[in-house]
Amino acid sequence: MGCIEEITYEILLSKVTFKKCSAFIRSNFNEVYIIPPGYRMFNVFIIGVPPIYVGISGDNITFPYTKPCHGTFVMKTQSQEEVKKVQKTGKPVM
Amino acid sequence: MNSTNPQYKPQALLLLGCPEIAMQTSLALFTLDLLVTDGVNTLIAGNNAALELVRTADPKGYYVKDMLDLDTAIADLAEKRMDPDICYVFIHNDAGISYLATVNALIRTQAMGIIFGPEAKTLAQQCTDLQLKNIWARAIHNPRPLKVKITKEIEHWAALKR
Repeated sequence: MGCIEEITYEILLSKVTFKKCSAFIRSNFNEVYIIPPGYRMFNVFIIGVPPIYVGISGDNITFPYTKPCHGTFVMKTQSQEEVKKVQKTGKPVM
Repeated sequence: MNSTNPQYKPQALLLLGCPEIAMQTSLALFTLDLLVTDGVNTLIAGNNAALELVRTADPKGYYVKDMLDLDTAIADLAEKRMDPDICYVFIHNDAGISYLATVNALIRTQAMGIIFGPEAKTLAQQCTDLQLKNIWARAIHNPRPLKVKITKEIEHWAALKR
């Protein structure tokens, strides 16, 4: 089990509700996938209310990250490996 | 749960949320006592601060035998190293709903939210809308309304598992 601090990321939304994060990802990316709760990404397990949306833009991946005391963040990072994994295992949103 | 094996002891997981509202620790210990009295192996998971509050309330470990870091608990559930018979998730904010939904998706049985704090009614409605089982009370300082509901819930669950 890893820590999100092990990766370099940009925070696009901070300390908001999960619903707001979902709406943000859904409406700001052309390439969106649904992943299941507990999906392993960067050695962390994604927490959320299904459907959990992940946005892809080139090698960038944007996803929700929830902390018990601070709510949910939308985080963006670069990882060709994780992009490929989500494209392969996630459910594409048309 | 494997009720055909007489040696089998049911497993429960208590998932603590943000410890900002002090009542959570008391409710968790109360719930744990009910479960342990009923012969259920009970594990408490939470972030560092939530677990430290539990350790402070039960320094000699009279009640709490097993504790687990929250992220490790989610990893264990996601990778099927743990599959409790029941999971109670303590909730007083939006993040708590995300944890309940996640656990509910990961375990074989259903998870149950225990909702308290000033936003309890709204959070409970959101859980119900998402078909997430929950009990709630707008309790902030006095845990009595939730103690009654938790007792009834565990009596109900215990009756079903027999």
